[in-house]
This record gives sequence, C-alpha cells and structure tokens, in this order.
Amino acid sequence: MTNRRDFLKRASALSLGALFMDSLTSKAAPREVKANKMIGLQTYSLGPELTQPDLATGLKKIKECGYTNLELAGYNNGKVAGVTMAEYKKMADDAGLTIISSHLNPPTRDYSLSNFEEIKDFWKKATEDHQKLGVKYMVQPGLPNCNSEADAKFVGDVFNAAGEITKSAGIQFGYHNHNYEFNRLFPGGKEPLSFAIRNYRPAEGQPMPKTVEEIFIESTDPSKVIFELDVYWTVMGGQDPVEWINKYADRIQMLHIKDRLVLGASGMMNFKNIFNAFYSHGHKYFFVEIEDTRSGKQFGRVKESADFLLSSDFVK
Amino acid sequence: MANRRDFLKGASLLTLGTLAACNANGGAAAANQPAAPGSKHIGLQTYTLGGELYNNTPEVLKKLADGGYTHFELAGYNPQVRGFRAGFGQDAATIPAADFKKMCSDAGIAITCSHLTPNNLERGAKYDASTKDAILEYWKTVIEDHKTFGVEAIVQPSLPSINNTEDAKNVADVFNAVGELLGQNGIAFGYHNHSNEFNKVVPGGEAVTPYYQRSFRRPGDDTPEPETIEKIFIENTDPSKVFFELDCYWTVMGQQDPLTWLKQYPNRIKFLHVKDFMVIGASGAMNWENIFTQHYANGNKHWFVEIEGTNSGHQVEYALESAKYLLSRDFVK
Repeated sequence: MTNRRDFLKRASALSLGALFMDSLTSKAAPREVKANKMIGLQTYSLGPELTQPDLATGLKKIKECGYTNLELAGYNNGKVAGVTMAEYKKMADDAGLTIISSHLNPPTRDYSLSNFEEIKDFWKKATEDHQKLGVKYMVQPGLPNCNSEADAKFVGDVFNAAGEITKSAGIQFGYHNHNYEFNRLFPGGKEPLSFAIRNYRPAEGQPMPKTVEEIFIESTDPSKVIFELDVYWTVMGGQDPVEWINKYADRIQMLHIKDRLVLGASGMMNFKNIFNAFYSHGHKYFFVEIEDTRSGKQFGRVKESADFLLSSDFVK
Repeated sequence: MANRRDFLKGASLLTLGTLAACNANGGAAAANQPAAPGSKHIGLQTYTLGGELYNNTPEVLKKLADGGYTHFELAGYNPQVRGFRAGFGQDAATIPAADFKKMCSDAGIAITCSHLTPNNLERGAKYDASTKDAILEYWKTVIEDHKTFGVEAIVQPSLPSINNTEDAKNVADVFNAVGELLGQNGIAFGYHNHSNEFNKVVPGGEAVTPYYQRSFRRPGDDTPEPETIEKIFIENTDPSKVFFELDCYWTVMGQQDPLTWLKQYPNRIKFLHVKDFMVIGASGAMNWENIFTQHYANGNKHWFVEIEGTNSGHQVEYALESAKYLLSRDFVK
C-alpha cells in the first residue's frame, strides 16, 4: 500500500500535460529515487573498499547508498572479513542492515565418497558459525568439478546433505551459478559440452544432454536446496534468465542482479522482465553484485546501481 | 507530426485514472500504446520468415507492412536463379528478383539491404590474395539484381576461416576490395557478426582463443595482446569501403556488451541486427532502450529485426509481435 500511496502523491504533483510532454519528447520520465524498497548487496562487490578504513564504516556507507539487505562473502573458519560472526552481526545491526545470506564454499572442488564426510563436517561447522549471524540462507557459489551427468548427480547428493545440515539450524541452503553451469553433461561423459556450442544435435533417438544447472535442480530435494540465479552469468552462459525463473519458479528463490558493471548501463540485460517474473512467483530476495572489485571505484558503482533500482518502477 | 497526432488521438481515449493505473503497475503509460504502423522506421531481416515467406508471398508482405515493417534486409538471393528459390531442391519454384521487388513495392516495403556470402569457394577456404579474384567474381554476379532491388547496402553475414591475426587482416583486405567494387556500383558493403567474431587471435597463432576463455597475462609478458576478430576487421578496413552491422544478440552471446561497441565505433557500426532470444523485448537479456538510444545518437537509422527458429511455423506471428513491441517503445523512432 505504501507504493500506491507514494505513487498517487507523486501523480498528483504532475499535470496531465506533463505526462504527455514526457511521451511526446520520447524521454523516459525523470528518474525519481523512491525510498522504502528492499534491496540487497553482495558484499563481494566492494572488494577492499568494504574495510577501508574499517568494516563498520563500510557497512554504514552501504546503508547510505540505499541498501537494506546484505549477502556476505569471504567466510573463513569462523570469521568473515577478518572479524567474528558476532562482531559482523553487531556492526550490520548498528548500520541498519539485515544479513540475509552468506556465500561460502567447502575446501575442495572434487567431491567423492571419500571426502563426503569431510565436506559435511565443513557445513556443520559453518552452520554453527552462521547461526551467530542470524542468516536465512547459506549459498555455495563455486562449481564442483563435473565431467559427467553422474558427477553432477553426486554433487546434488552432497548439496542435499549440506541442505539437511543447515536446515537443522533453521537455515536454507542454496546454490549460485556462473556460466559454466550451462555446459551440458553426457550420462557416461568424460568432458562437458560447452555452452558456447549451440548447434549440437544428439544422435537419432538420443536425448539432448542436460545442463549442469538442470541436473543440480532436478537431483536435489526442494525442501533442502534452493537456487540463487545469477542473471548476468546466465546470459553470459547463452541462456535467458526469464525462461529459467519461470521454468523453475519454486526452486529459484533468490537472484543475483548483475550487469556488465553498473546496473542498467549496458546493452546486455532486461531487468524489468527479470524482476517482473521473479516477483510474480512470490520471491523477494535479490543481491546486487558488481565485478572489477579492485577498481577503487566500487562504492560509486554500488551507489549508482542502488539509484537505478530505487528509481525503477519495476523494483518493489 | 503523424506521431504526435496519433498519440493525442490515442490519449484522448484514456482517462487520467487509466494512465495512473498503468504507471502503478510498473509500465510507462505511453509505452503501452503502440504507434501507428508506418509511423516508425522498422526493418526486418527476411531470414526470420523461413519458408513462411513463400506461402502466398504478397499476403505475407501485406501482413508485415500492416504490422509496421517498412524496410527489409533480404536473405537468400541466389545469383544462379537470379532471384529466390521458394522451397528446397532444384525443382523448387523461383521468384525472379524483379518480381520480388514489385511485390515489396506493392506492399509499401523498401528493400534497404541484402545478406550474401560468396558460395563459389571450397568449404573452409581462406580469404586471401589467392581467392580474392574468385570472391570478386561472385560479387559481380549479384550487382545487377541488387540495383533492381534498390538496396543501399549488401552485407556479408558469414565469417571466413581464421586462425590468427594475419588471416583476419587478409580477410579485411578482401573486404576492402569488395567494398570498392560494390561502391563503384553505388552499393555500400558491410559485415555482420555472430559470436565467433569475439574469439581472439594473435600473430602467427595456430588457433583462436574462444571468447569465453579468460586469459590471464603475467606482468612483463611482452607477447602481443590477443585481439578480437571483430576489432581487427574494423580497424583494418577502409571506412569509405566497409561498414559494420552489429548483431546485438550475437554480441551478447559472444560475452560482449553491444553498447561498448556502439560507443567505441560510432562511425563504423551503421546497421544493427535487433535480435533477442525470440520475440524482441520478451527475454531477460538485451537492454533495447540503451542500444537504440546509442545507435540513433551515432547518427544511424537502419536496423533489422531477426528472429531464429525459422522452422517454427509461427515466424510471421513472432515478427508481428516484435513489431508491436517496437512500435510501442518511446525509444524507437
């Protein structure tokens, strides 16, 4: 209802003529920054700027940019960005930011029966630590090595086990893609079929090999594993993020909102269609991510990206 | 002025309440009202239509014109039959160039451009001094009919075989010669990319580095920086002889930002292919507002919709849906 009220207030300030003028001059209506939106930031975006001069200041600056939620990066043995989980949570609280999620990877990319227990131990310790942060989600962003469909299904088993561990502490486990999840894997394959090969046709009677992402989604238990779709890496993998968001409406529950650099500044992404599809399935959490983390200009880009989202009608 | 009148006519049917509701739902009010067909310059690459183009051609052309298409870029002209084969195989009926031109004129559609690739070389043949004459011979065979079509330009959409910088520069030399030949006949020559033009090459290289492969260079590495084939083509062709038609979708598929290219080569990229996963504007990729705005800012006006899946049986429908999207966007002139 806040949205509607804000809009009506704003609309009353405009004359009908003004609305027409915008259309006639074929310019978009002037962007107006709207407060009270829930927008998240993946802290990886800031690189070293996050802790210059210190983390508490960095977090306050994030809040001033307009963000309300965080997804952390950099968990390492009980600490994130060099401070304990409890200290991080206190600083975020003080800044007025809610830590919704955290990115972390087990110490190996080669999953096998022989290290299954070791990987589970990692998730047990990490879950204990993350309870202190009060997060809702723990998300793995790193792709384990997969050369065949069987490899990817085994990774799915490990994800299910990780999800069971985090769930016991009331935390939801998720997986975040880059572009190599759109490689395809054969049942007894020795290597992936690159996402860049678009004209592959299976032999007569053979099914199209599935993408790694499909195998992960379809071989994991919906109650234990959700997916965070990185919409930019999906496009970089030659796929349409809207198609994935709609196809796996219940499984893709969070998004990484990412563009070439500053959101909305390239020719590559249609965020309006992405947000509309995402919200239509009842989801709400997304996190902005911006690469080039050592640019020394990340705070500026993070702010410009927040301005883009705050001034876009399609972001709630 | 037609735009303004049409808009006001449309707008008078709406109450302020309706406008407000549109905005609250996240759509720009005016953007939902399509402009009148014919009031914007909207191009179509006829490849989009697959076989549907030849199923009662005059009727298909009329539907496209009624839907808003004003300009065509042709595909499939065949110099052996001096026109188009309206089907597969040697027995297929043909439509002579002059007949096709007349059908387009009757529908009110201008033929601006045509896609052609020399088909008289061996598969995988390189473009260099040894093949240049044969390549020019091919181009000579298409000129007369393209004068009949009244095209402004002819564009090659296929990438010759390239493994290294030298190969790419040899192709650029041949393109210059083709551009000179066509230019003497009043037709501009252009090149259209897919994704493999963003593969990278080095001098003396044995194979390309695929566009999706990250290369990390060590500090002090003094070997030549790998460059994209597209960049080598642009920088080694004569601007008065060769222009570029950027396929925005294939640029993104090649993991590049089309806007960066439009800004970097404002005088070289003169045409666009407006292509999306399917219907224009329906996917989560492609920022058409930014792309169109930059293309017009560069002083260019031609662009052509292209839609894949040419055997779908619904290509005319998809082309019309795309035209509707484009007619209803403020950023399309």
